[in-house]
Amino acid sequence: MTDLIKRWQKGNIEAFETLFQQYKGMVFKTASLMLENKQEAEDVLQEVFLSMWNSRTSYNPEKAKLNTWLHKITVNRCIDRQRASRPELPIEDDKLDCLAPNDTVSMETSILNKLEAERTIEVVKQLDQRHSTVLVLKYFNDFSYTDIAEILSIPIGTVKSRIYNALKLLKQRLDDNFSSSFTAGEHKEDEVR
Amino acid sequence: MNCNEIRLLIPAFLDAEVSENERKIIQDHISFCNSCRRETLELASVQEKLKKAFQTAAEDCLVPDDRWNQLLRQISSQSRVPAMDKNRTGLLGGIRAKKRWKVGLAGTAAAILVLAAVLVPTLLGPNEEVLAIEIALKDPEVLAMLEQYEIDPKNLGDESAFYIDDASKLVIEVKPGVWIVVDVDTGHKEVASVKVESLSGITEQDILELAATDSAIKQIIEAGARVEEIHTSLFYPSSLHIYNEYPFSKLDFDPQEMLGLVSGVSLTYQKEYYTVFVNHTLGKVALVIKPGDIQITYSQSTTTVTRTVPSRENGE
Repeated sequence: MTDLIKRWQKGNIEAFETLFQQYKGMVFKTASLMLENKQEAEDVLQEVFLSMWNSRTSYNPEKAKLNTWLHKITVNRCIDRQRASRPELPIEDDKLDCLAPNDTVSMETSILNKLEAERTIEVVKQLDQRHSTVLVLKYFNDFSYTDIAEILSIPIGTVKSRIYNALKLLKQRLDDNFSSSFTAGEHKEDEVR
Repeated sequence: MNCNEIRLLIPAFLDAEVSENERKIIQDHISFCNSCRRETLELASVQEKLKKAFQTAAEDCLVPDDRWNQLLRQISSQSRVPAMDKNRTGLLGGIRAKKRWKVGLAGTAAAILVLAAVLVPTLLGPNEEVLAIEIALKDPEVLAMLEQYEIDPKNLGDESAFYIDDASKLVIEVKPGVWIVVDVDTGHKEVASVKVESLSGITEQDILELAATDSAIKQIIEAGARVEEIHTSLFYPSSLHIYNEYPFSKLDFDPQEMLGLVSGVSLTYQKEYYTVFVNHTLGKVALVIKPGDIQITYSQSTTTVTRTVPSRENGE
């Protein structure tokens, strides 16, 4: 791995491709969970690895793990896009394309689980980006609080309080969503601070 | 700890991210406090639901498999476009650029270049660099330069980095801080070197001092950013990275021009000056810092602000 990283840093395209194949899944899935639609996640995937190539000489393996460093880039790209486009983004059909039911899965429980998962992720994406980001980094990527602090450049105490607030907001939103689905048949769109 | 303090730590407690001492305190507390115990159970339930949802989403999420080729094309185009004339874009533009370069190199390079251009026009991405190095290695002057630095041409890319920079120059690093630079357009070759300690009279310490004394950077830091490191790398011998999120409106830039949030600041050394790049939602701000003055230019507007900072050369 160290040798691979050294060769990438010296401009070896084959080493870079190996790293791309190794990390593209995690980067793409993280972006998919943070962004509104699949196309944006694909764009971020490309931007992250373009940035990885362009910044290859400034990466210092002694300062950060490659995985953490890549997620720092990924998260920043996603945040930039969220800030730039979220207010005007329509909720499109492909927004949760990743969760489209698989043809081979037909059991009712699986479908119900998927719907539940879809609803939960939809609510996560509606949270403020600071909150949705820590949830993805902790409960999808399974980064430690220390790594999350490094990725987001915030103190570890802030990570703790942000995760607490994010979980509280998520619970509140899920509860609202659940109750309004009985009363109005649709979820609420109002922002939660 | 009171209930509020305990509650803030509940997710960290559930994630095993608290100290042994904190764990005992929390465990004792929730054994007698009903509301905190209820909150713990609720948050644990939300955590489980969330993990399951993420896992389901990830399992069904198909990673696009055609992105590698697109990425290569993008890498190729970004290394080629900046030095081209406006009418030299696209594939033909790339080939024409290389033909011009060929003039400045040894004649034997022509056959390789033309053959490659005809046979593999769609592979101009990585091949641009591969071709560049192949051609350069046919050039006696480049070979002589490599020999001077005891570089085996066969090991380029493994033992010595090479790349085509934004100005369409083939750059071969022969040792840290020393590069052979071949101009793609003219074929001109030179050895470039940089020594941070001596150039422009600025040292790494000066960058720190600059960051500490310049009002704009000071504001950035006071607004919550922290100086992360003085980073030394092969191509940017000295750079100061400052990361954080903070409202741009807190700075003394024109808020009408620069509404939005800053996502990152970096300061890099660039031959004769230092540049602070401020990324924000509307684009990029560059603070170009030279001995004697700091010039701030906004990429999204024509506004230019000039600041004056103490010149190292004049100051001593």
